[in-house]
Amino acid sequence: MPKLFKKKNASEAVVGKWDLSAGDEGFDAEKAQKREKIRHVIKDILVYIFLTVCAVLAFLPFYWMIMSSVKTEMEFRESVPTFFPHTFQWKNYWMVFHQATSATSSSASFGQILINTLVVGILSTLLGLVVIVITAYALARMEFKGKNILFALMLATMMIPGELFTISNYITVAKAQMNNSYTVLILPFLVSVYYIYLLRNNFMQIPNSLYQAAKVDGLSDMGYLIKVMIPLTAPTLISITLLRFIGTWNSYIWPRLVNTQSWQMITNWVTGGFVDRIQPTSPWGDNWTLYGSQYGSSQPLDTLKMAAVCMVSLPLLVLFIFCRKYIMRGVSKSGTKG
Amino acid sequence: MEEKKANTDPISETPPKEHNRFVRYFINLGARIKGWFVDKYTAVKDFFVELFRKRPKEEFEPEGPQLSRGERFRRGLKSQSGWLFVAPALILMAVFTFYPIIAAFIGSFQQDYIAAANQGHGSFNGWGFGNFVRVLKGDTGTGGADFVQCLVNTLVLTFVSVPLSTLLALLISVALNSIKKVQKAYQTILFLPYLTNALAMGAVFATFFKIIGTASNTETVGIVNIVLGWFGIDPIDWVGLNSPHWEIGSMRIPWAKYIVAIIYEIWSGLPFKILILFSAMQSINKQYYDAAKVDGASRWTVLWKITAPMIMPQISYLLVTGIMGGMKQYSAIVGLFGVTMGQDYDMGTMVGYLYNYIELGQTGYAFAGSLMLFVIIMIITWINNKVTKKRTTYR
Repeated sequence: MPKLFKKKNASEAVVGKWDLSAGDEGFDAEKAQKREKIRHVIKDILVYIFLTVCAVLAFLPFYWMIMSSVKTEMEFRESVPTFFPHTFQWKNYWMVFHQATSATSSSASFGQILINTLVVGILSTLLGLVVIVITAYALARMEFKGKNILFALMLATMMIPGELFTISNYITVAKAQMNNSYTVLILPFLVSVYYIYLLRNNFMQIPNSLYQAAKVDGLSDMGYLIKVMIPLTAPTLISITLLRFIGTWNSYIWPRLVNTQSWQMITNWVTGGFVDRIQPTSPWGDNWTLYGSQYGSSQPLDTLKMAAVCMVSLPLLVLFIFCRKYIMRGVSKSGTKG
Repeated sequence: MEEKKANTDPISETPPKEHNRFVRYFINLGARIKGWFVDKYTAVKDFFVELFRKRPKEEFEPEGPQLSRGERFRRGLKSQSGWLFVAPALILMAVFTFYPIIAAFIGSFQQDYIAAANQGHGSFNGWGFGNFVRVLKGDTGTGGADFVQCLVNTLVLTFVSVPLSTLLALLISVALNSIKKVQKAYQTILFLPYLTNALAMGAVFATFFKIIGTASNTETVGIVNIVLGWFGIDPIDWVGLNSPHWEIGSMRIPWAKYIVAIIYEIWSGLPFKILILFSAMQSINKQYYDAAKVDGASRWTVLWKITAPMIMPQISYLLVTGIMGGMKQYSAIVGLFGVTMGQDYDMGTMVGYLYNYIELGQTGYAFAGSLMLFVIIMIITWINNKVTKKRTTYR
């Protein structure tokens, strides 16, 4: 140890000697070390400042979203915006709960949209998981004619942008008259080639001897899959589940194309115009509005929009806080959002 | 190898004929083309040989040939039971993946194809390249988005925001890697923007830039304009109807909206890039750094001579996925500028173009646009393969 320490000192001494800022010809090891230390501290402080600025900028939109959602519209529109609201107007959320999907239609409430999103999200995640697992298992462990060709074909479709499928699928759905149903939101996205590929690779890593042992013990293929493989690949499966659910939660384009408002998803609801209007179902009596006719009937209210945005974004943030490990692992593996 | 040796051998009495370089080039080219075909031919041949290969009997019938015909058939069937497992995925893919590819190719050559017309049977004016010509010329006669405008928008947004956010992510990961305390907290906060909805956060970003009120009675000019005002810059209508833009021919370059979209994309693209780069840096063998320290290398030298080469694969991966994602961006634009993608679709993207034409019912143009998007993505993939293959890595 002492020898190493000496060497380190020596190398620093060389740096110190050629450092122009040193100024003096006389070389003082202790002084050089001190200078080096100060330089390190300054560098560290700069690094921390840089990171803090970045973190603040990364977080600022969330802060602004939450704070705006509880401001009054008057306060939001002040020429110098307040950083922290004077008054918290929680009524905004009540207003938004009963807001229709868009200004032109009054058919879908937030409750309806939330139920749609949850039903579609859970069903498509679970069914999709079943399809992915059995397909990946067959591709990883079973032998049948044409397996490799099938797998190659599946992988080849990953090269093609999904938008190309969407157009034909839209026509297919219209021809089959499946519009305005949950089926149409679930079926086209059950198979995800990338997750099949990911899971297949995971399954392949499980040693073959386990399979033979299970066979000797009289376990069927299905039994082996459920009792051995699924528990062993649980982390990947959890990541896939979470990412798929998030993907469904965020789906916007397909529901907008194939379904009308009362069958759409939560993101479609966010793009609707949020205006002040008479809420017949308010607990404060009939004809309740936030601002009367102050902002006109068609002018969008940004505070209401921010409240809606909060309701869409915050569940994801909560999910992230609780499942950080799995989500980050899944993301770093797959690089997709669902 | 053998041949080369013989050529350089001074004793051999017939020196090889020296072609001039053009002839040499064509000889090489010929050899390469031939090699390409031979490769493809062998691949296809192997494929079919494998497809029709008669399996040795013992694969199916370990008991020998004395089994009854029914039993043999049953065993043969059982060995193919994998098809049962892949059947659900296969059926779904046939309907929603394989068929659409064929349909897209057919539909894009049916001129002015409208799927909903004729009681859902579709109508078109003969076969040909009419869809492509009209899409490229912007001569669709429907008042929808303009393809060239969308293409330019997409390319500008992608090729500005992706390198910028990768560079910033690199800086942040280097900074993260060099600190010892509260690393995890910074990492978590910086990762937060990943798990958000592009539409929702786009709407939040729009409020930063939005001017609310009329020209005579402006209520608020938005945070960004207020901050710019401190430096004496007049408020700019970033996302609204009076957003400043340049005009080149018939094309609009809405630079203010570009800036907004690029800032949003950098913000939303950072978390994933930081995650990848930071974990790559963490996995670099610490011995390299120790060795550098012993040699007295400065921090910058370490960064450019050790860290950067080691994470080169990740950087190129991020650039590729970033560009691919950028070519397909859409929902962020809707969040920022509304469903009409700015004023008269001046912030339209490639994908936005497709959906615009689906909603207009002009399926043929949408198909043609989607095929062109596919071709562009393939070209980018190809260029990328060419570029990244030459990189050497130390892993």
